[in-house]
Amino acid sequence: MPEHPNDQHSKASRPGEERMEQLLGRVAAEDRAAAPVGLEDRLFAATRSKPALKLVGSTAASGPSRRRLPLVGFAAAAAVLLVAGVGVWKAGWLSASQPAAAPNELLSAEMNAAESELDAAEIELEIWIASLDALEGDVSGEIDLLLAEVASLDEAWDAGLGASADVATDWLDLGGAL
Amino acid sequence: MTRASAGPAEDHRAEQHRASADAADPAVSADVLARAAAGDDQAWRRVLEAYGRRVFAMAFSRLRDPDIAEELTQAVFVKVAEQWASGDYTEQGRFESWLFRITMNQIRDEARGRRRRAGRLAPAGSLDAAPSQHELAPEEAPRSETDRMRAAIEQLSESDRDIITLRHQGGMGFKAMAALLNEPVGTLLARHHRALKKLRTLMETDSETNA
Repeated sequence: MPEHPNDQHSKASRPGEERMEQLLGRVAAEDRAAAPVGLEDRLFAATRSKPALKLVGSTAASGPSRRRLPLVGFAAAAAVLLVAGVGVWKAGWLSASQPAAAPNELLSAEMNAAESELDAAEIELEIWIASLDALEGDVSGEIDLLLAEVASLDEAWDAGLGASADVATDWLDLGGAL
Repeated sequence: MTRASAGPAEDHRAEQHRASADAADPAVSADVLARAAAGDDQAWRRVLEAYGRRVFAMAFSRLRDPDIAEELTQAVFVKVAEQWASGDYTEQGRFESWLFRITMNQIRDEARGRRRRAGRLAPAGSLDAAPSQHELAPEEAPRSETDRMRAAIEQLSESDRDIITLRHQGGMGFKAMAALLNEPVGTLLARHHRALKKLRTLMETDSETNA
């Protein structure tokens, strides 16, 4: 007569099992302690960052270029500040190096110098933004190509799975027929 | 754990009582889960604090790589957050089962990917490129008791390992495990008990071999 599970249970040594449970508890504690410091913070950041990025990019682009928009905006803002700063510094240097002149003439010359610096800064900024746009276009193109490749691989994988399922169905049909 | 045993029937009842007590004491209340699902940051943090390390430990115990375990943990919680954000999830007291099912699926996918990669890299005739701990040379053999236990766990069947991982690394109650694995609680208790016995035998054999 086969042994009933309760009989097997009765033959097991409880102290032996308890020892195993204690050891497993120690192993589990070691595994939890192996988690890096700040794991929860990183998990929080990872799970909360995605919606924020989508929100920033939702008005203009779609797909991977969405995530680059804040970066491009930041670079453009930095460019404006840099060029404007250089313009202001140059205007200040020009005014300091001018010979003494009548107050009105001095003011007018400073305004002209500042205006021309601003014009130059605007041109530089436009060139920089154009180059950033071109760069973004190139990167977007590359990413779109990669995504297209991934999509075609996914399709191939799905087709493979479909074929496997068909073969399995055929075998089942054959089994049923036999 | 140190109480004297008064017989198998009492052992079984005590274990069942412990199982139901586990299930009745969830790490996070239903209210916190509902708030986290609705987008409350504070509640979400509580969920991460309650389950983050448990999910990590499950992944780490099976994959033995802290970076991959962290990536996997992140993927699990991103999936939970996305599911909550989509509004498809309804809290019905089964969060823990759902969370650990996602975790086990991710671990299986990662392990399968590793085996595929190992198959491509391993020389002809070899089944696995990375030797497990019990295959190490005697001078490199694990010494500590926990290392020996890890080696013993590696030798269990996949289904026994799942039960041990869910119960100990995941800290799951038997009721939640029953919901996850779609098996009666009694069956799981018996399977867990048998897995412990196998581990004990493996540990004893290992001691005799090393003696």
